[in-house]
Amino acid sequence: MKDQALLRVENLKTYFPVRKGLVKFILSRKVEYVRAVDDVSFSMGEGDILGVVGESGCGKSTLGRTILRLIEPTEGKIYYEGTDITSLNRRKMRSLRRKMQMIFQDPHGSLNPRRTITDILRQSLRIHRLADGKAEEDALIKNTLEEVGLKPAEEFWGRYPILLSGGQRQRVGIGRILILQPKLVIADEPISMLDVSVRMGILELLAHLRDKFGISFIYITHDLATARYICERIAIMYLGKIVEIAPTEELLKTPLHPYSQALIAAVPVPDPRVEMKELPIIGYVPLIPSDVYTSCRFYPRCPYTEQKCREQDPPLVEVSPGHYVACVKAK
Amino acid sequence: MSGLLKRLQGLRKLLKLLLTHSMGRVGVVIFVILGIVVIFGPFLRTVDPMRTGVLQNILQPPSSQFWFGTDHLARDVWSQTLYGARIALLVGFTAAAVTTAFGTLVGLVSGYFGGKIDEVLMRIVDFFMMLPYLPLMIVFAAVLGPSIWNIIFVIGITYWPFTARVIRSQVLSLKERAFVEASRSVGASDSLLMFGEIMPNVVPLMFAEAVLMVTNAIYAEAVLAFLGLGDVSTMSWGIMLHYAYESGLMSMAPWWVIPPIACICATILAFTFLGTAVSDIMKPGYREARGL
Amino acid sequence: MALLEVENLKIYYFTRAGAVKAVDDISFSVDKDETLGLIGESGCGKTTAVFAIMRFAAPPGRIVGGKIIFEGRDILTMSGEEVRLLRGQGIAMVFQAAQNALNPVMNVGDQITEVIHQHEKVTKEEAWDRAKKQLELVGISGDRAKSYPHEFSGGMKQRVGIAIATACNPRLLILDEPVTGLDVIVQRQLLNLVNDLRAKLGLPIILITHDLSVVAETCSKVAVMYAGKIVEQADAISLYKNPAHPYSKLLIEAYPSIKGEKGKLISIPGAPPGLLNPPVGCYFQPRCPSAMDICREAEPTMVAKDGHIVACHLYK
Repeated sequence: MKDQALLRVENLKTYFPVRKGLVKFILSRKVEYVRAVDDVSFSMGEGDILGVVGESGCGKSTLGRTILRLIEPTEGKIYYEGTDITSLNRRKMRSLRRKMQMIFQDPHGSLNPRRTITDILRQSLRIHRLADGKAEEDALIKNTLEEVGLKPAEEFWGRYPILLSGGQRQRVGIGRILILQPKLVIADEPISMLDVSVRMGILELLAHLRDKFGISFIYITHDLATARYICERIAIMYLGKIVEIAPTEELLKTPLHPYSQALIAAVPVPDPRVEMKELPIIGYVPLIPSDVYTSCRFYPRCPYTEQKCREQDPPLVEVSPGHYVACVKAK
Repeated sequence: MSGLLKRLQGLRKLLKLLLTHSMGRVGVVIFVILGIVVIFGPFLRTVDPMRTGVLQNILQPPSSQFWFGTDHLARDVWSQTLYGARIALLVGFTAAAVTTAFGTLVGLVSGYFGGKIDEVLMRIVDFFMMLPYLPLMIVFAAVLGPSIWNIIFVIGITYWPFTARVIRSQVLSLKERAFVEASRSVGASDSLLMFGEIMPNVVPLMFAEAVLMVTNAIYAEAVLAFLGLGDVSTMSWGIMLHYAYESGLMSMAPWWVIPPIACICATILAFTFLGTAVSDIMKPGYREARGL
Repeated sequence: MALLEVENLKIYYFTRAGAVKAVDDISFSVDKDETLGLIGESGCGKTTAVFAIMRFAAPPGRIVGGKIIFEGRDILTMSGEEVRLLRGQGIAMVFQAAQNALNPVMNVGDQITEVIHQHEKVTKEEAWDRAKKQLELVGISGDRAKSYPHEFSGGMKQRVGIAIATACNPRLLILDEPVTGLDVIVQRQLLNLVNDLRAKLGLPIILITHDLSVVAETCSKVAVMYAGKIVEQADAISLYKNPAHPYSKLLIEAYPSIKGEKGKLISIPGAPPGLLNPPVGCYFQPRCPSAMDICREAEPTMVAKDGHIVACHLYK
């Protein structure tokens, strides 16, 4: 049966060995690992926008990079359009690379300050040999600049990034990958370093690109409020695992995992008339998470914890159509 | 042609910026004087600096005929001083260029690839850095023989590791920057990343290092020449001092000794100032703070 | 008489190309029972303005005009020594990313006692006791006084920053972007702390941020800054209910929320003007949907409207 999904991730794990201090290194043999991505599975179809939301350290960025194989997975499988790309060699991966791209968080740092924005776009074309000659390159670059909202292209032609505003730089970053005509784009916190007044413009651009070109997005963020605006489905991550995944409005209305509930309660509302709710969570993200690797990751902070939470690591279970939760107490 | 024009415009901008820097101003002035001396030397009342003169003109103090006096072989010190500038700049620029080019290449490759390549290259660098530079230069010069090109080679061999280390440091931090990761994710190859993305960002540092390397080269040449390992078919400032010392007449003829020493110091000072000014200018925020 | 009154404050950066008007004639006040939120995007001058309250003006910046009257005295006319004594004791500030402002080689208790010793003559034991109490005050166990900054998480380091700032019982506390860069849950815990402290210590607070929701959760009064000027001031609730200035209105509409209807969001096209040669007339005019002819010609003055103070030609 042909795989319908554009992207399918199965039991993906990315572990990083912990660098120990010298004394510990000599004294103990055991290698400890930081389980940045710990058994994540999900799938998405063409034209979907999936949100991956979590706090820092939850593994969302690592997940994005692992899917693109910018970081190599430790275990598990990644299927792109039905093909297992987990261990493809470099050459085969190169041609697929075109279709799977990433937008970075830092609009200033992700553009080489010593190259003009036209050169940056040109480089994408040249690496993948997408144009015949300078004239065709220029035409493609012009189209792309206008497509991402840098109109008229002549005004921005040949400029260095330093002369552009944060929002404009981010548009260049989007243009750089758009010119390759990707099908799957992982946007890693694309607006968190931009001024508030320009954020929505960038999100609108992403939604527009999905509508016009059918590009699928994985939108990684810590900001639930912006995720709400373009994602149809949101996955909440905590300590390397997806704890809940559901259609956006359903998740916001009826979050079932205690962590999701805490997250939603914690999001500040830009309206002073609304009271801040009680925060149903205890303590802080553990600096050394290894103590919870054999149990539910969240139990030390969960206000509803019971004995079985300590004993097993609950799997993601579908409790209503499209709504999955990893909690023994969710119904 | 347009490329050349762009370079010239760039130089003009650089000159303007240098003149805003207190040290840069001094450096530019001395550099210009040196330039005039080098280019117009023959028109500035000079004669062949190697040509010996008549007996009664030996060791003459400055006069209207010999502006800086004469040395122990009745040679015109003024001419020697002016021609010495040519040697100094030749050695300075060539050695600096060679050293910087090689050091940068090693630093770039080592910093970018890391791992075993980095380890091996850095051990080589460490080895060279460990050797005391003066004895190293003396040994090489003695073995290779006194020619200006050997001198340049010796300076290169001695100083390249320092440049390599400095460049490698910057490469290490640059390669973590988001734009490198972004280019990599678009599919750029290692060599494109090294030379296309990282190196352009290293050029300012390279340039600053090169300018400072000139000072090392000039100093090294002067030391080697003074010790008698220099190229006696030329008349550099170091050679002048060598003769002055060897003849035993240094204390009697200050006009012979002061010009070369003053020139060595002034030139090293000029390039030190220029190097400092260049590296200050390259720092982000320099232009903003002055509203340029 | 308000606790702090800033009148016609002007701070310019003098560069070779001319004067950059980073803060151009702003006025605001803070009363003993108020929390003022100073909100604006990057480059609007809010941090520069507030640094001036502590008489920090990094060259080439200079305070060129105005008055900053704290408890009846103009800070700008005080002597250097008087200002030094004021810092930490009269007015205290918690810097942006306080976690980076902590000395990595001193334990947190010492960093608190250092401030205490600067201003008060107490014995080492008394100071240490107070340090422990300060930590408890911000929700950190007193036994951790001997711990070093790297042993704390980001949110906790921010709390330590607050503990240091409040050590000498200042009469006014300034928080510069206190929760920027922190995770949502940690952010909420910190904002809870700020509100608790305000209630417990009766401390007036000036809070600088670009995040409207932070202001909504903590501040009673809001001043909106744009391009070096204050464009609107009002109490928090009426600002949200009826924003008067077009910029305030657009800013509020640019904010996504997880509550309520998922309405259409906007972003404001264009960018703030350069402050070296600011445009003639209203600075916001190029991006303003309600721009009129007069906006291109004359700068609007602050007028009062329905309890707000607005600088906009729409209101006279």
